[in-house]
Amino acid sequence: MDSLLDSAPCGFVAVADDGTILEVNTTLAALLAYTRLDLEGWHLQKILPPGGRIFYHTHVFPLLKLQGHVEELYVQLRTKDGVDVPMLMNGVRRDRGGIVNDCVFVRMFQRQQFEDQLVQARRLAEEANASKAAFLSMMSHDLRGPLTAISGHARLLAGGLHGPLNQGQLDSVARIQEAGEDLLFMINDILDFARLEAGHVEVRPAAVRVAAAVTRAERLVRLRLEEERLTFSSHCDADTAVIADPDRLQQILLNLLTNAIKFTRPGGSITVSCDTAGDRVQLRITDTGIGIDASQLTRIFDPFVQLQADTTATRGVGLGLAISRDLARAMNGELSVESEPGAGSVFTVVLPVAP
Amino acid sequence: MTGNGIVTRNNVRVSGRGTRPMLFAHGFGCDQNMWRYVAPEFESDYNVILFDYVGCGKSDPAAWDEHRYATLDGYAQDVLDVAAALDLHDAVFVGHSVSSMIGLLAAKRDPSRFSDLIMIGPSPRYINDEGYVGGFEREDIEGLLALMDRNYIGWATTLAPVIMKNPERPELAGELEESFCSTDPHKARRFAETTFLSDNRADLAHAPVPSLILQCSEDAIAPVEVGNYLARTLPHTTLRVLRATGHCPHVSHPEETVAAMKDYLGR
Repeated sequence: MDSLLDSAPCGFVAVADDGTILEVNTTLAALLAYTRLDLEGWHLQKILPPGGRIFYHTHVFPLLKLQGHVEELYVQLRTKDGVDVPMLMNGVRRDRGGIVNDCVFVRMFQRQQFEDQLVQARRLAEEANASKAAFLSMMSHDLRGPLTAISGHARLLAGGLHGPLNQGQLDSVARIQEAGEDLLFMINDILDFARLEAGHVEVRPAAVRVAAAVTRAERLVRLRLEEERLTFSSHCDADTAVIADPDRLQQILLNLLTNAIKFTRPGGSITVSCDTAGDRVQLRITDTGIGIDASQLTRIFDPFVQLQADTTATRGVGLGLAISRDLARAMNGELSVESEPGAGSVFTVVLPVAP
Repeated sequence: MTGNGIVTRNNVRVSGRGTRPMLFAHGFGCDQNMWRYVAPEFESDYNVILFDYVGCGKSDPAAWDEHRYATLDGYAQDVLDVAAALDLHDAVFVGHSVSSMIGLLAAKRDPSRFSDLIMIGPSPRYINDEGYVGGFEREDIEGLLALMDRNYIGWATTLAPVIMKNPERPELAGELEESFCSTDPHKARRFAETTFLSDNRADLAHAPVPSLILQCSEDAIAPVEVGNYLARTLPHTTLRVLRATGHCPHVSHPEETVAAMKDYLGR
């Protein structure tokens, strides 16, 4: 071994296929409190901790043999005193008077600590997310019971079951009912989101005609379109069909239409169009609304993100778009957005075309 | 699931000109690519079948089931599903490492599918126990899991799809281009836990078909003591100690491995 390699500021080992150490440089031998002569002729696994031996035989060696190289592997080498030293390893298999695996090791104490923190933080975040989803699901279930009672009894009161109400009482009961509906809407969103997060949403795909689905959704929001004096038009071929869960597609369309209404000023328009490209159908919901700032565009599909409407109080908890995108993905589709502040937004749902 | 569904789910590959089926099952670590040097040697006489367990190689990611693959029985069901999809009977099952026990579990559930089990580097339990040498302590397995966790940080660039460069076997380049050893970190970790924390010693005495144990002479994962234990405990078994060292003789010493298998099958 030339003196440059022998004293280079990194460890070097040449290993035969059977794991025998053929050469080792002084830097690595000294780091492990051995001499070069101690190590040469040993099996590499003598300087690996037990877990590392498994990793070597199940990953490192097969990769070197079949792939010819490994890069950026994290390994630990064990010193003579039994201390495990974290190392970053690169290896290449080559023929230099016989097949050898040339491996380089760089000590990485600080990076290990940093990675430990990252791994730990990721685990905590995953756990927190799992418990959040479980909590949301449980809470939504628990809230629905009393809410059903409130709405039910308000309906009974309004229906005059306990005698006629005066106008003031009727107004109050109507407000209770309205607030109950709003609350139920939000709770259903949270429950849906929790289910999607936990992967518990069942999707039953079928062939769905897009034009008919758009008409159904439009019917449900027609009153609000009229209230806001918005023009609605749909340009979807009657025969265009997608593979989707009809109820879930309806939910996505309703969400997108409700959003478009919410963010479009009176007198504006909302247009739905459909295009088939290859095996996908693109369903575009275009509005002439206030648009979305570029800085917000990447975040709007994140859960609990609320865009600021310039109208009055917004309904919902900021889950509609997160749910819609998750649902689209669960149906092998996608939901995306393009927007320009002041000019409006285009939400595009892509779904597989029905054959 | 239909037969075709299983073939896609487990990325089943069939080759060979013989009629007797030989089913190769990879161990923990990579996928069916590990049989690259051995399986072709049996194509002239056998119907050779390779597959990836769900969670490995090019299996269908959507087929993963956390509960099912928390025990080796879930993996044994993969073997039985493949056997049923191809209507295999009297197949020679070749399992590496943990797949030896997976094959045993599958054979116990449906012996008609298998004629023999060839076990390469088998171990019924990796962790030492009273009166039993498995080779590892529980904290050693924790060490492996920690090592795997950390290597997933760089998974995308290291163990993920890569272009194979093998100076010795340039003809293989391209074949493995997309999938070699690539796997989902979470599923690989679960496979490691299921593998190394399993204990199948109680299943050994009920092996319904004869077996061959291929034991490497110096195997850090399945030491010779384990091979001897298996030879004492498995009924109708043959222990063959290879000159090969390491844990993957089918990768490191394919000629010796093939010869030992052929010896056994031709007996």
